[in-house]
Parts: sequence; structure tokens; C-alpha cells
Amino acid sequence: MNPELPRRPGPHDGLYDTAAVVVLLVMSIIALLTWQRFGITWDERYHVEYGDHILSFYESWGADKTALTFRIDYLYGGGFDLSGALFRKLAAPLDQYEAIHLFGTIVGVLGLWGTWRLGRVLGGPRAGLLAALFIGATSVYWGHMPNNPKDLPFAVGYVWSMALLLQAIGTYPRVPRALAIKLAIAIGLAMSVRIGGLLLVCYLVATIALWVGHHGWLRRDLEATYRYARRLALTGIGVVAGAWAVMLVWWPWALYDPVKRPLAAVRRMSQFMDHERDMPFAGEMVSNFDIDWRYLPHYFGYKMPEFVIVLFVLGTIVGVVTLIWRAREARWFTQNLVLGTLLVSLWFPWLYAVYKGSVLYDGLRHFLFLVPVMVAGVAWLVDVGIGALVKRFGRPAAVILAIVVATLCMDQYATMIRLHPHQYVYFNRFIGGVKGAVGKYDTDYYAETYEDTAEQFARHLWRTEPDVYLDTVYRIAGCGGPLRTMRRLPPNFQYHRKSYDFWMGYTRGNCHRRHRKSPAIFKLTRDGGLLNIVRDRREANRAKEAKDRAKAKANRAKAKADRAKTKSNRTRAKTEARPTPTQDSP
Amino acid sequence: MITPDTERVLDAAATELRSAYTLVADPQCDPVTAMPHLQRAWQAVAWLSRGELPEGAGETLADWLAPEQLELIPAKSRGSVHAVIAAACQHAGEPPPWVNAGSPPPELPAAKLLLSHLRVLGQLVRALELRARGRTPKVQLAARWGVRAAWWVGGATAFVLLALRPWQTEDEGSWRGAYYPTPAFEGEPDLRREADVAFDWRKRGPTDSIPSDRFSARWDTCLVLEEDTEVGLQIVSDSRSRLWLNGEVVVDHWKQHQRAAKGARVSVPEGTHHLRVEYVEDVANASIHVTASFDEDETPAPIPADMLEFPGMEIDADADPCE
Repeated sequence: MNPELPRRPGPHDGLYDTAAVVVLLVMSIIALLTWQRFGITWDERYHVEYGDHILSFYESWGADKTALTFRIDYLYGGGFDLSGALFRKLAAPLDQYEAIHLFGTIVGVLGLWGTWRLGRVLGGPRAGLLAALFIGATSVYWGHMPNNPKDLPFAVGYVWSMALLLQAIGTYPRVPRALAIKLAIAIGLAMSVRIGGLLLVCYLVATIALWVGHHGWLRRDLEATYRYARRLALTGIGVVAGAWAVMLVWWPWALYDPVKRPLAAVRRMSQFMDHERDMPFAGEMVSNFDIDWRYLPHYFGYKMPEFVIVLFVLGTIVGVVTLIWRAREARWFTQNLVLGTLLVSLWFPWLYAVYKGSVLYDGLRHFLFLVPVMVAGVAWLVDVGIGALVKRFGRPAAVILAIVVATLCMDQYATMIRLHPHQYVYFNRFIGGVKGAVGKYDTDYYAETYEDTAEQFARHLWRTEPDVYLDTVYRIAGCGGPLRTMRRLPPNFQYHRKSYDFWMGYTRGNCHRRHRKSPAIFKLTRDGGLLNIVRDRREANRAKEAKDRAKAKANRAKAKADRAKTKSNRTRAKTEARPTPTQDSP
Repeated sequence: MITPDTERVLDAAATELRSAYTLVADPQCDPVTAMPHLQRAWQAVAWLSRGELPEGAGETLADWLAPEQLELIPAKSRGSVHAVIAAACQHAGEPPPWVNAGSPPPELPAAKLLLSHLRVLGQLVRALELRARGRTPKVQLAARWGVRAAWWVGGATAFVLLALRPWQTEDEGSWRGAYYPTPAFEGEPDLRREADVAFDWRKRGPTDSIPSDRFSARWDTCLVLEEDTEVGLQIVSDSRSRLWLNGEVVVDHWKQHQRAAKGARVSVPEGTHHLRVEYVEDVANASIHVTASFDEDETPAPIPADMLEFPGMEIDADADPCE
């Protein structure tokens, strides 16, 4: 029993913890056995390069300064990218993308464990088990694990930071040193991926201020308030300084002005205007500069499992009512602070984005960090509900609720298996699944489906025309660029931007609608929704070549006729120009 | 099943522990105010552990704990733990200042020591709770040491693996590669073992001593088939290349060309077969990829290493090295 949080263990705590560990181990093994199938996404190449540049910055003792000006990436810390560069060295002979996918998977797995930890901090072992089951059933998290080099690692840092922060709140005003150190490292790592992790510092400062204010007000004594403030301020300063130091280690650009530059990055990132594009939203094509407050509610409403989003809304209402109800009694203050911090951490980022009019695109990936926290919060709510029902109705209620939870999770697991390895395109039944979302919302915005499409398309060609296949170098092109298109294609395929036999188009930017007159030779679909299409341009090319040949022939004939005409004109002119012999007058 | 009495005492222990912690942790409170709570928490523990309370502070920690709980505290710490209990009892039993204003207050342990003492007490309460649920201290100890051992073994294994990195041992490859500085397979070749015939040299030579244009190369390996198989063989090369199976040319791509593919489907009987690839680079870009399909559903891909045997470095150009 922890004297800071002396919770009496329940009769089945050991069972829940053991079950959670088993569930998480199974999930970890599944993740580590399936990461190879995931494709390369748009951001990965640049983050791999950025990682190499940071590594070479340190290897050259700061002489190689490429990392300080590399694209826009220098505004991000290299927490994931530099670690990934080191991991890639260790993981050789895996190629760099395979290695970074494995590394991403390992980081993602840490996020699964972090969600369990947060659930456990919030509601104890049973809530932890539920959180583990629910996060494993969340396609949008799972699908980003191997190949999202910034949003997912940030989500992992965020969920661990939240778990440790909420645990620390329970120990105010004397946070155990080990917990403070862990919190500093977690916040530092989150900020080293995205400076948006500064939010966590804000939460920490806000909780300290509230705690001090509340206890000072209770005592109505300035000296007491001062003493609380001093103790917690020292802890807070220590945690923030530690987190800042951890962040700086991975971020060469920030090292040159450790205070101003990270803050400048925050300003720059909160007004990110570098990507202007049209995208489908709620069935219309809109500019990402014209997005309003509905953007995130739509995406969270359609991309989270149905039961998670419904319970999240319900949980918010229950949470707010509970906060107000408990606010009457001072003894509930710490629990209220934990609940309030959780609710703020889930709602504030969206409200801030709406307030700032932030440019949003690519589904909810920029807010992926809310997903594990949301899932843990929902698990807490379910845990409380189960506790109340079991108390009221006894063992039968426990059995029924276990069946309900298992059914909900199994339904999601089945969907994830169907979507594999494109889990991140998941849409729930509220919009009609992936099929219902295509054309209305961004599905494969990250070009992740190119590798899988290419591999299956090559197999299709081999099955349908093996003799032609053996003697042909096919030319191919697509919106995904050569890296993603060619990666899994055999050597008898060549990427050619201008002249190609096949066109591979995903749904972003309506790329799949190009060359609509050419027959579709292969379609990659999931749950009835089109994700990528390959169009056969060979017939069109042949027709064009024939047309070009005919045109060339006609041109040649015309040129010949012109030449003949010119010659004849010239002859005639010559004849006409010749002086007519005049007869001498007699 | 926990008896109601035990349940009540465990609740009391948790409450007293929390109260003691709150007072010790609070910078506004004198730690002395925590002493009565600390004493009562220990009394609850003693009741749960030994079924009776010691006289005063007792002589040693053994007066508070039964041997099975005593084992949970390292022998070297028992003295200091008992010293804090003694201080707590002394303070709790101390008459209030208005009764005996003249006597000096007993010395208190530092707040840090008190906090770590509270953690030890917390562990004991948890252990007693678990015992009440049927887990003996030995099982608890075993579980704790099991987890520790797992961490150490896991950590040591990871360290050894990272230090040795067995996955980075170079695959020597089953192809014998001979690289000639002329386009006619003449001159002293550079010999190398290759894992695969998949090269894209572009405008460079294959080795330092081989020119980038007008060179030739020959690769030999032994293909082992466990059953009669319809094999699809393909070469994609720039420039000339050909593939021999058991001394016969099965893919002839010997006409000068830029990057192009040529292949054949052949029936190969069970057994070991000599596979040879010859390549000549004329000018400009140089590349060659040899792939094979052993299943009509799978696209031609590099031949898996487990289907190949290395024929040896020293082979006779005309003899079958796989016999």
C-alpha cells in the first residue's frame, strides 16, 4: 500500500492486473509480428532524414548544421527521429524503413502500456484492464503505430505524462522524488517530439496553482499558502526544468537558444500555414484554411469505436456533474482535481484549436494524442458503472457486463483484422464504415496503401499474364511517388512520371479519378470502401501511339505534298519569271 | 475470505497511514502531530500480524511483527524502523506541554526518514491484506523476487543481444560471384560471395578494380528443390545477360539492350541443380536482377537463401560444381 495513495486493494485486483498484463503481452506480440505489412507514409522519409542529420550534428560535434535548417522539421524535436536513427544502426541489416517501422511499433506498444497505466491510476486495476482492452480495439491508434513518426510518439509521451501527472496530483504537496523524475522524463520526451507537449507543463502548473490556492483559501493563512506554494513550486520547477533538459537533448535547433526557440516553435506551430489543400469534409470539398469548429467532432465522432465515442460524451457529462456535485465538499478536492485535469486535457486542445482557428487536415492525426487518454477515461467510466451495477445486482451483473465488454471489443478486433494493415482508415458505423466515408472524409491521407496495392497488383499481373510478365519491364506512376509505389514492386517495374503503362491512385486529392477512361485492373478495398486503384493505360497508350503514328504519317504526307507543291510553284515561278523572248522588229 | 474484524482493522490501518502521511507531507504541520496516527497504524499492524499489542514500544521490531512479516523487512533496517516506532510511541504517550512544561520534547526523526518509514509501513499493511486474502508472505516474496529476477534476466539478455547483435553477422551468401575487367570473361576475376544477384550499379563498377563499362560477371549457385517444380525464371538487366540451368541456357537475354526483362518457365525435377548467370555490361547504366517463382501465385522474387547451396569458391568453369 502506497502511503501517498493508500487505496485498499480489491479482492480481484491481482486477477485484473494479471489479466491486463497478459492482454498487453498478447497485443505486444501481435504488434511485433504484424508491423512488416504497414506501408511508408508521406512524413516518414523526411523524418528519417532529419534523424540522420541530428545524429550527424552530434557525431560531428555540431559542425554539421543541416539539422538546424532542415525543411520545417527543425521546429520539431528529434525525440523519435534521433532515437530512430540510433535504432536503425542497431537493427541493420533491416533496411531503414523496416527498422523505423519496427521502432515505431515498439514505441506504439509502450503507448498501449501507458494507456493501461493511466486507466489504472484513474480507476484501479479493473479500469486498467478495460483501458488495455479498449486501446487495443482502437483502430486509429493501432494503424498509426508503425509509420507515424510524430503524432504517435507524441501520443505515447502524452499518455504516460498524463498517467504520471494524475498520479502526482494525488501526492500533492509532497510528490515523491521518483515520481517527479519520471514525470519530468515523460513530459520531456513528449515535448521532444512535438513542442505541443508544453500543454502538459501548463496542466502541471495549473494543478499546482489550484491546489495551492484551494489549500491556502481553506487555511485562510498567507504563510500557509506561501509554504504550500514554495514546496509545490520547487517540485514544479524541478519537473519543468528536467523536462526541458530532456527535450533539448534531442533538439539541436533549440539548443542554440533553449528558452526562446522552443517558444518560437510553439508560436509557429499553432499558426501552421504551410499546407494549403482542398479536402473532403462532410461530403464537400473544402480548403483546410476554411475549417471550422465541426472538424474534430466529426472526425472523433466517426473515427473512434462507437461505444468509445458515446461513452466519452456521456462521461464528459457525468464528469462535469460530478465535479460540480463534489465541489461542495473540500475533502473531494484532490479527486476533483484529477477528474478536472482529465476533462481539461481532453477538451482544451480542441477548444484552443477552434479559438486559434488552427489549420487542420489529415483526419484526426494531429489530435491522436487525445485518443489513448480518451480511451482510459472511458475505461474509468465503464469501471465505475460496472462497480455500481455489480454492487446493486451482484454476480449476474458482473457476468453480463463482462460479456458485453468482450462483445464490444471482439467486434472492433474483427474490424481491425479486416482492415489490416490499413487500420488507420477506420470509420465507424455512424458514417457507414470505410465505404460510407470515402469521398466524404479523408481516408488514406498518408498514402499508406501504395505498398500493399503495388504488391497485390504485381501478383495480379503475374497470375493473369505470366508469359508477358516474364518478358516485360512495366512502367508505372502514381500520386504516392516512387518511394511508396516502387518499394514492394519486383525489378521488372519502373517508375516513369510521363509515360506509364499503369496509374496507381489513392483517394486523396481525387487521385483515383485520373484516367477514368482506362480500365481499372486492380482495386484495393477495405470494408467495401475503395482505398487505391490501378488503371491500365496500355490500351490507351497503344491507341495514342497509333494516333500519333497516323498523325505523323499524315504530317509526313502533308509535308511531302507541301514540298511537291512548293517545288511545282517554284518551277512555275521560275518559268513565269523567265524573260519572254522578244522578236526583233523587222 | 476476510473476517469483518480484519477488514475493519485494515481500514483503520489505511486511514491512519494516510493521516500520518498527510501531516508529515504538509509543510504547514509539525510532524509531531502525525505521531499518534503512526502509533495507531503500527498498533493495527501488530494486531493483524501477531494478534496482540506490545507493551509500550517493545524491545525490538519482533515485538510488533510475527516472524513471517518480519522477514519482509531487511535485517539491517529493522533497528531504524523500530527506532521510529519508539519515537512515535514516546511522542504519542508524552504528556501535553501544559502538564509537564519543563521537560524537553523527545527528538523526532527527519521528515524524509518518516516518509520512507511510512512506505515500509504501507508495504506491511499490503502484505497483511494479501495474507488475509490467502497469499502467504513466502508467496508474496517469491512473486516480488520473481518480478525482480524477470527484470534482471530481461535486462541482461537485452544488453547481451545489443552488445553482440547476432542479427548483424554478415550473411556470406550462396552465390559465387566472379567479376571480370573485360566484356569477354577474361583476365583475373574478383571473386566474392553474394547473397543475391540483385545489383543496380548505375554508372559505377561492381568492385573497385573493375571498370564501370565493358566488364563481365558470372554468378554460380546450386538450387535445391525438394520436389518437381514449375519454375518461372526472370532476368531484368542492362545490358546483356543469360541464365543457365544445368549447363543449358534457359533465359537468353544476350542481345544488346537497355534495361529489359526476359524470362522463361521451366519444369525442374527434384534435386540439386547448377544455376549460372552471366552478364556483360557495355556502356552507361549497369544493373541486373535475377528472380524466380516457385509457386504460380507468387510473383518472381529473389531466390530464398534456404533453397540455395554455395558451390565453393574454386570451381571449374566447365564442370558442374553442384554434383
